[in-house]
Amino acid sequence: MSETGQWLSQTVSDLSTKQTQYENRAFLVAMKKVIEEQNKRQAQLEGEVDGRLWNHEQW
Amino acid sequence: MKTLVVVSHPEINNSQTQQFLLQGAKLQDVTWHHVEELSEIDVEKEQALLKEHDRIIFQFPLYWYAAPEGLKHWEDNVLTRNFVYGDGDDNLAEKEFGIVVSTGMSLKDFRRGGSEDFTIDEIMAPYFAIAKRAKMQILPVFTIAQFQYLQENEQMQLLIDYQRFLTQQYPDSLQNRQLWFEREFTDRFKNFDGTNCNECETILSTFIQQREDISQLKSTISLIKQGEDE
Repeated sequence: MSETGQWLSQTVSDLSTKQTQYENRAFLVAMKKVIEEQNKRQAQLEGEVDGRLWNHEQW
Repeated sequence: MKTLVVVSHPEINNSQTQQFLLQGAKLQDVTWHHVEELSEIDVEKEQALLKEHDRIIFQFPLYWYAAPEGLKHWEDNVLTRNFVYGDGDDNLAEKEFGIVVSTGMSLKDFRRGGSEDFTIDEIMAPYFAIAKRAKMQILPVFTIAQFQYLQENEQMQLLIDYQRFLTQQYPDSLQNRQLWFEREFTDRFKNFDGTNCNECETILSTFIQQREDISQLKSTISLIKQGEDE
């Protein structure tokens, strides 16, 4: 996971714990899940770029 | 985009699920329309309401594999043949149609070989048939199973998933999910506790940057793929 992705996930998570209103807490917890998905997708896509660039059949 | 939630429940005030959803539906551009509360059905008014909205949701608890009679009564009066397709106007065409259905049974019962042996999609077929006849875009069904057994974190997720179902652009892709959170974060952060505008703006711009990075990676991959094909 990138440092930026990690920071974002942690910051939104910390912010969610500070919320007194149920709906705000729910929103930020759900947003954190999307950030986790972003991080996962990013890592997968980076892996795919590496894999395709190092495809020996294309050398 | 404006969303109309046509809700049917004969005892809505005693329904924990519907009261929970009512709180979630308090959003800009969402109209909550409880059919059992109508003293009489003014067909023209109801049809105008449908025309005004872009996404139409039928929301109800599952009673004997269908909606409560209130919704059927409303349908039979409001969805006249001429209004839906007969006069050539296709008044509902291009609108989106979705169902929010709650059930006391577990979701795993609604599948082939499950104790109900029918899927929710099969049971909802009459509503899809109406939507298809009206040339509407059908959204995947939003099913709430055993609301009373959900844990707090599951309920919180449900609330936001429901709000997205009402107002997020179709289809439910990561791209559209990200755009929804960007828009809603911008609207909501002024009400957040324990933060300031600067921090929220940094969060928002980082979130947007992440989305753009993903798009960039995707286009890099399609360029490589193009090269592989040549």
